[in-house]
Amino acid sequence: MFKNEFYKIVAKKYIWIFVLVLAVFYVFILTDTKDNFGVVYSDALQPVFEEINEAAYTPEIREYIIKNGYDIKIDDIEHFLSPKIAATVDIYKGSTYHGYDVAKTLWEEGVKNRIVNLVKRNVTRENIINQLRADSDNPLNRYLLKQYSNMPKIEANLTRWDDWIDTNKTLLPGMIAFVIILSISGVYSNEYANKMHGILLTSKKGRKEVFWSKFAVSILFSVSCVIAFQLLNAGILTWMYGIPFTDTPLNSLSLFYKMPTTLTAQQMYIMQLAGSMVGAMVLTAVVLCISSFCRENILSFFISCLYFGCGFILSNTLEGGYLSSLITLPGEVSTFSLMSLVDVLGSGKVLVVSDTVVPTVLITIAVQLCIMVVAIALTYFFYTRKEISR
Amino acid sequence: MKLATHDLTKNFGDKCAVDHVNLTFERGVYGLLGPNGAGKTTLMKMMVDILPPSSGQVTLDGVPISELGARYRDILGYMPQEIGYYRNFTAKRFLNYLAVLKGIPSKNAAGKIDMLLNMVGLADVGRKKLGDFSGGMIRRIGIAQALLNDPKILVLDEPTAGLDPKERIRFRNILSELSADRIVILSTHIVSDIESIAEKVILLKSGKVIGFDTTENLLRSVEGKVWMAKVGHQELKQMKDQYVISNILQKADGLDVRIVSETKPCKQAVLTSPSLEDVFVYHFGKLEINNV
Amino acid sequence: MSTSKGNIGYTTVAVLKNLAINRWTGIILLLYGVFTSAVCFSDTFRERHIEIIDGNIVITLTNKYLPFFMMAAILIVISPLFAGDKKIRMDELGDTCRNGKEHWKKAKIFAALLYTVSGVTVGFIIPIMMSSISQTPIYFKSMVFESANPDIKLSTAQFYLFSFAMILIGMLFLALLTSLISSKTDESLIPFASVGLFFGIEAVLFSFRTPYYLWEINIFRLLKPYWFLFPSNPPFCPAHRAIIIVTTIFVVISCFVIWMLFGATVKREA
Repeated sequence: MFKNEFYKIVAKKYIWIFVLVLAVFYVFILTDTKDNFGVVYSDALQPVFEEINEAAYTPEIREYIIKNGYDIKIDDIEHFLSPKIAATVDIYKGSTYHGYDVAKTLWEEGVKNRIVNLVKRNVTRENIINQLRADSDNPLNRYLLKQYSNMPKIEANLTRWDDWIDTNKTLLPGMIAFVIILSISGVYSNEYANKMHGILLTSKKGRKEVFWSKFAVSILFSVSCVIAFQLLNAGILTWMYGIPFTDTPLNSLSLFYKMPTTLTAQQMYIMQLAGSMVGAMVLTAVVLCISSFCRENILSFFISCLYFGCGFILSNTLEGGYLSSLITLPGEVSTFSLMSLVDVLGSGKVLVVSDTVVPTVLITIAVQLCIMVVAIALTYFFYTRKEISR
Repeated sequence: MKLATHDLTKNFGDKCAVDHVNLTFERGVYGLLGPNGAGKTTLMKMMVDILPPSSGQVTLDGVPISELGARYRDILGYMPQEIGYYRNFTAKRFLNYLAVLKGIPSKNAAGKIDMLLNMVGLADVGRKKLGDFSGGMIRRIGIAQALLNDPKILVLDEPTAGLDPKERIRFRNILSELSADRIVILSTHIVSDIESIAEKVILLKSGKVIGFDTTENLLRSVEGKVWMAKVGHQELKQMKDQYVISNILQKADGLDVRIVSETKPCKQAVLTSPSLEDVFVYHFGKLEINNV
Repeated sequence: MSTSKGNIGYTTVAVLKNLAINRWTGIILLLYGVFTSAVCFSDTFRERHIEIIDGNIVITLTNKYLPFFMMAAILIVISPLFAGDKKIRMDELGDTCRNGKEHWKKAKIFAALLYTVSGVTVGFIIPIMMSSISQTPIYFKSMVFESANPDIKLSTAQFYLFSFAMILIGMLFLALLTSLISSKTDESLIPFASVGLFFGIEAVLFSFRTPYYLWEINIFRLLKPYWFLFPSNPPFCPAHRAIIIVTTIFVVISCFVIWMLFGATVKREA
């Protein structure tokens, strides 16, 4: 039965066509920037990663940058920098790329901007800490102060972890959800469409066994789908940028530098993989539930898309900041949010409930697990209690 | 009016579903009889121009129906084996929609729909949704829609399947009345329906026409070949291997067995008058029947 | 309505009636009405959830939200237009009727197009009406997007007409595409998912702005026509050139889809 149920899902030719179209589109959109200067020379400054970091923490450089309002020329600070940086950049002297002077661009956009940004980010963090110390003492301030004070040292943004985390922000969860909804939305409703429900529910292995086979197979399919898309994503990113050469604190990435998070990029990425997997399972349970009370595949697909789409839209329109509220919460506890995690976990979001500060990600996980349990229970109820009228 | 098929053939891949069928239909009721997979539905679909033949053609008064197009469909009524319907439509709305498709002016349609719903015994549920209808009721809606445009050619694929005996009688009577000035072609597994209404019977086997005659002539063809015998269980087992059994009736003193055979099957066997079912059994053989 | 046999208008109206009484038409219309009322009558809702474009509620509703409601209606109502009939074998009944086959097919396509035109029209009427009732001033004669330094200057009334035309072209394209895919399959899910996926891909390309030419030649340029008033890069500038190029491309593709719809006779094999 298990094998047959799995076959029913994967035997639909159109699902493979959709998967192929999505995969081609994904490769196209990701590799479209492959010729950009930043991508081609993404590893040029990696050998001097430590030196760039050191420069940003050198008191003379830092003071000079702050004094000049972050508007400096590379020549002004070059004498403070490690000669290794100059030697690394000099390798590209004389070469041009799409009209860019490679060495000059590396100096200006690579070295200078990163040092200036690093100084700016540290100053921003210090200002936040000072502001929090000056503000009145309350649970939120205490929590934020603890987070900002315990943050690891911000590093130069040279690792390309941004791309690994950013692709998991909206695009990948959206695609995975689409394939799951498309494939799973017909699992129960299709039995009605094919007039098989009567036979299945009255068969010896009917009701409970059919339910569990369908459920297990759907979960297996969703998990495979997540693994396949994550592998595709990792494959493309590795081909374009290579595997990130080192782990880095999450606050070193442009998306998160103001946020009260103490995670590292690697931890965040692993959490995203796990979130993607658990989110896919929750989505599968919900889609199965919808499928169990719909008699038409199209209706089941539409309602499932609405379920995921609402979370997607709410989450994307209300993101930003680190404080959750009753208005932002519906989007933050959505299945999409769990699959992405950028907003709720990466931004270190919290919800203040009376005097307690609760990390929003915990609420997201709790709500999603509740949804999953309720969805499974309702599916069981809808499927096994169905009357066979004709 | 003469409807004819000329070397009509339909292949599905390697399988030949209808094999060079030549038939001519004039006024009257024609019964299409054959086991499952004989090609009855395929033949009917080609005759109503919803399935293109692989070769051959169907003509009406010598003109291919594909050329006649809407003119042919204007005088055609078709009831498929599996009736498509919109679950959320009421019976009246559904028939109204089909009336539009059949090009019936709305001023005439309403009265016609009421009359047909009455005719098929669904007048009181005309405003109910089709989704709530039973299988038998849907078939009756199927019959009503086929008669909407007062067709000159009526093609009905298993029209009585799922109808209760009362409805089957009602349907037979409707058909008998209609057959006066039109061609009615119907296929069914219920041999007694054909026996009571069809003037001519077409026997179809593996896509080929193996018999086309009046019911009287077909019955005559098996006269002297239908036997009745009272046997025990052991005897029946042996008999099943040697002869075609058309009916077995369990009685207190043994089994009353109806056998179709050229020769006398056993000592106690006596000749009996044949029915169309015996004709069916005689032509379509031992395999289909004895394995049922 | 009484008419002679074979009148395509009569059959079209019958099919259109079926599309209009589809419960999803009502549900989506109701949701759009409720959403529009919330935007027009609730200051809190507007401030918290809506980013008003050019200070004009009607432009915001029609250029930002109407396409999504219309898209939902097209997907769920038009996807089963052909595929649904094939699935339940209704096509067998219809195709043996006098006005079946090509006549019915044409009527279905006309009905889908009329449904789209009616939907977009209602989609414009509702916010204009709500806006008037809520006494949100509509300055028909004032110029739109003045602060954004647009390439072409349009008054509010002119912009409404322009938006209507652009959104209509975009929606008709999507309705035709849905009908075409529906006519090629017996599974309503396939046109729904295909056009939904196309819509999603276009949305991603529109938000990523890369590659640039796919941002310019994008269905969202038609569905969010206010973008036409902002400067573009060559060869899509000045604005009227972008309008001509983009609309021409989508109109040509729509004509091709119509040709495929009318040209291809789909015969169902038993």
